[in-house]
Amino acid sequence: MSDVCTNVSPNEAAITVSYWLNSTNVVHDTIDGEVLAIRSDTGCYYSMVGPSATAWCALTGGSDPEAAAHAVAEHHLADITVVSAELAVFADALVDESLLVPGAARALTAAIELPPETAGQAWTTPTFEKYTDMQDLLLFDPIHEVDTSGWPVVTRHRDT
Amino acid sequence: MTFDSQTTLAHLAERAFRAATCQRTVDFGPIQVRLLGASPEHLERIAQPLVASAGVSWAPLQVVVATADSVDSRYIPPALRPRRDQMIVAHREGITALANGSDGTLWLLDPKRATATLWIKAFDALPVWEHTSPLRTAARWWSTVQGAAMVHAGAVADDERAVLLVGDSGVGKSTTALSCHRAGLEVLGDDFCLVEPPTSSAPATAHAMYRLAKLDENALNLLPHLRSQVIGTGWRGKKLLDLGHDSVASRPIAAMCHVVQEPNSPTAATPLARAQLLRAVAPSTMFQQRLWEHETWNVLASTVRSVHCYRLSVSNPIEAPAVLRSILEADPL
Repeated sequence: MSDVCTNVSPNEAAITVSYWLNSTNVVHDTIDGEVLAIRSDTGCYYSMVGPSATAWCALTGGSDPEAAAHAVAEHHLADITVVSAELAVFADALVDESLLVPGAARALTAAIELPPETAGQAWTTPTFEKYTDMQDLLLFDPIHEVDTSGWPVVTRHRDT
Repeated sequence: MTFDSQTTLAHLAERAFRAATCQRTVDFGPIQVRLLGASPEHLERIAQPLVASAGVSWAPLQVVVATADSVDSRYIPPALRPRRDQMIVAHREGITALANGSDGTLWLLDPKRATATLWIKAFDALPVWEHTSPLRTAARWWSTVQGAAMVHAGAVADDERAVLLVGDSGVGKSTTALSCHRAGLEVLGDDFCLVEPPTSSAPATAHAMYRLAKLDENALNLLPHLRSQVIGTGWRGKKLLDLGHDSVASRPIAAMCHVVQEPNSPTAATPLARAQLLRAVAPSTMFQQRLWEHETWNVLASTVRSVHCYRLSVSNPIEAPAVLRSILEADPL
């Protein structure tokens, strides 16, 4: 039912790109330190806890990448080089899942809000658990949207 | 006549409205519904399974039911019938059209006129679940318009509060909910209920929707005292039970339970992380609330944040009412 995203070993590259939530198709919330994110177009949903929840919160709001890495490293009392490299890998995995999209950084002065429940937890490589049981149902029963060109001309498949 | 860029959704809705020759008003949960159609018998069959949620009123809704029998068949647009495996949605003129190939229904949802129009080839062609739990599409849409959501959950209540029962289909939500019937708790729903999220002045609230519930034969064997309330057979051979109430008061939600079957463990409730409860209820509810997933998510997340969450391990459903009563007594709002 669930897959665990296993990240590769941290490379030497620090995170250099800002990311935003794919808000068209993704809803998410952080409750008691656990992140739950759902792709409404595919039905896949994701769980992240501990440092992974911290990393998600740091990445989803268009934070300056360097500021995000510093905030996470400070939150977990971890080595900034390791954190920055692993955030970059984690972000790539989230982009691959269409949960995040790369974009311009927001203002540096904007605060980066991290879940207080994870503060001080030992840093581990961020991962997510992916659940696909709803995806099977959605693919079995897809919705097709049409536009003004008429019906039944299908212009966009939500199941892609 | 075919449905193309020259055929407006408003025209289709208007045709259905003009073909209606009778009407009746019925309370459906917290919604006062004005039903219109060409057949009093059809309207009665739609109204019969609905229950009123006393004391709370959302904005009223008009529902128009149109069949090929009641409207000149030239106006039945063939292209509105997608393939059997398709669901098609279009947004035009401020109206959302939802055509479902699997059940042959076409809904036209018009928020400006607070009107939901259902086109169907023939009333008896409606799928069996539309006869036992009618107007679900209208309820999903209208609850979203009202800032609420139709949630995939059973619900039981004492005189003051409710507990929602969530979990995968087939896990025993209905059995657990119905074990409370005639056991000192009220059953607000075995599979669905309407949920209003908490506000600054009011807690999250559950509303009953239907007076009919479903149980399979195995569950009836566990709850044989409910056999006298079986009135027929529904989808997938499940027995239909008439819970016998015409009106169920709404209840503030005190707790939510993720129901799991564990035959070798005592029936018991243990605290559950809210995120895990949200994971148990959100995907299937959102799947059923398609087109309104984001709004539904917001209702669920804010509701889960406001209540206590438990994992309800059920080995014998007969034991569930006592556990649920203890939750209600332990969790003041």
